[in-house]
Amino acid sequence: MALCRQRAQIAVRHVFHRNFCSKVEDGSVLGLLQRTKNKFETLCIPEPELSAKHILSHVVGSSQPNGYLKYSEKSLSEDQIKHLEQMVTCRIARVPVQYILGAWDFREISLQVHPPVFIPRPETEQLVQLVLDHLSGSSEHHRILEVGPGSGNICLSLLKEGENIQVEALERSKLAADLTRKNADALGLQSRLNVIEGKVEDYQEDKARFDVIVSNPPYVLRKDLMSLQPEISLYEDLRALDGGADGLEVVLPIIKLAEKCLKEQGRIFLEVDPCHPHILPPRLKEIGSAFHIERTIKDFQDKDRFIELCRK
Amino acid sequence: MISVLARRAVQCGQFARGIRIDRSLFPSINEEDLEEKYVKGGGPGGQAVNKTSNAVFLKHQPSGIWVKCHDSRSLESNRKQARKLLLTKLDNHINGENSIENQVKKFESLKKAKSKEKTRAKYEKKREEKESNTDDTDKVMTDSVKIDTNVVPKEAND
Repeated sequence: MALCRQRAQIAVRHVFHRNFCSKVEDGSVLGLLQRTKNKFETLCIPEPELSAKHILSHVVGSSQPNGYLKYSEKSLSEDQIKHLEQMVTCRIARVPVQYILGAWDFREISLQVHPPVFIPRPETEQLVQLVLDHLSGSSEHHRILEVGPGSGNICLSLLKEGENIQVEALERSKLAADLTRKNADALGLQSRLNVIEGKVEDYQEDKARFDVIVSNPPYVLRKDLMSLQPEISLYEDLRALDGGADGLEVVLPIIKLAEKCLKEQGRIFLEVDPCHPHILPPRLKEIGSAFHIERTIKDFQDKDRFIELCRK
Repeated sequence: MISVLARRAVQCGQFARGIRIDRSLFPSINEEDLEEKYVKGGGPGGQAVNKTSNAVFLKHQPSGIWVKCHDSRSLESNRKQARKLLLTKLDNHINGENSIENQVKKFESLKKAKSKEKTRAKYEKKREEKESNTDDTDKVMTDSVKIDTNVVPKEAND
């Protein structure tokens, strides 16, 4: 099986090399963009035009999706074409564009990303806004606990944009914890961030220290895990997505943890699956939780995506 | 809130150039008047989807003016930038030559014309100086080789 896959990969590379480099005299950026886009379309790669644009822009040194336009009349060097070739091969193998570029933007910051650490999603940008709005207007010092920072997108955005904030981030994956620390150093935010490695269930905290708990926990339902696109199932750590049968396997322990370590007036902000605002309340009642959902907020696709919880 | 911030950003952005701009006509927009659209993702969305399109389409309902922004890889950045672009477009539409953008353009073209005129005058002055120097040199040259054409050389008569 592995040998068949290997042979298929070699065949793809040969076909690609033959077709791609046959007109190498047209090394212009626009010409290469068109051929790359056509290649992706032929091979049914999702977002063929946008993938090509991101890759071309990266090759010419721009982090903007349309950065290639500034160099549209120019030709790429041999090294640049080689680099482009490598990235295109990766995309054909369904590697996410973000991993190919090695970096992605999230609100006002740029983060390094690499497999298998979970890539920040655009919906989560709104989760950060909810927390910032909740804290704005108060000049007090705030302590925030984040569960599962991944690449550090949430905690580092809060530190960058908020005022008087300190964050403790609990991460079960060593690779993700290291990446969060690396991104914090790169952004100069490491002094106000403490990354701890461990699981939610094992986190020992008896003192009510935190004003806010925030998390984008694994919340995908097991049935949906089966039908994920290859970009996700092949390259991202599925532990960052798998929420168990009902998607609440990590959500519930976070709310339980809050009973001990969240201040009396503290709030929990979570990103969840659209079904959770409906199936969570009876589960909370079942376990006798002190918390309830104060409000549900929709995302930019008009789906129930965020919940704010507080003590009853 | 995001519209208020965008408005302030566009207004103050011109101030940094140190020129006097009339901002009294600059429009404001209400979030309720805006129609915002994004590239539709399929299925449950959120964690279950990986898409790289964070383009924002923004339309101001009362005026019908719209913009599309995909300058950044971040959705929030594109939302903010789309509002700035929309405000500028609305300002140009409502206020014509009195919009902030057109006032700046006018100032800059006047500045350019002034600089061009200054350079032209400087060149003209240099040219005149050079010409007057040449006239003086010709006069000196003529004095030193002045020939009396009425005198016939003595040797010719012997």
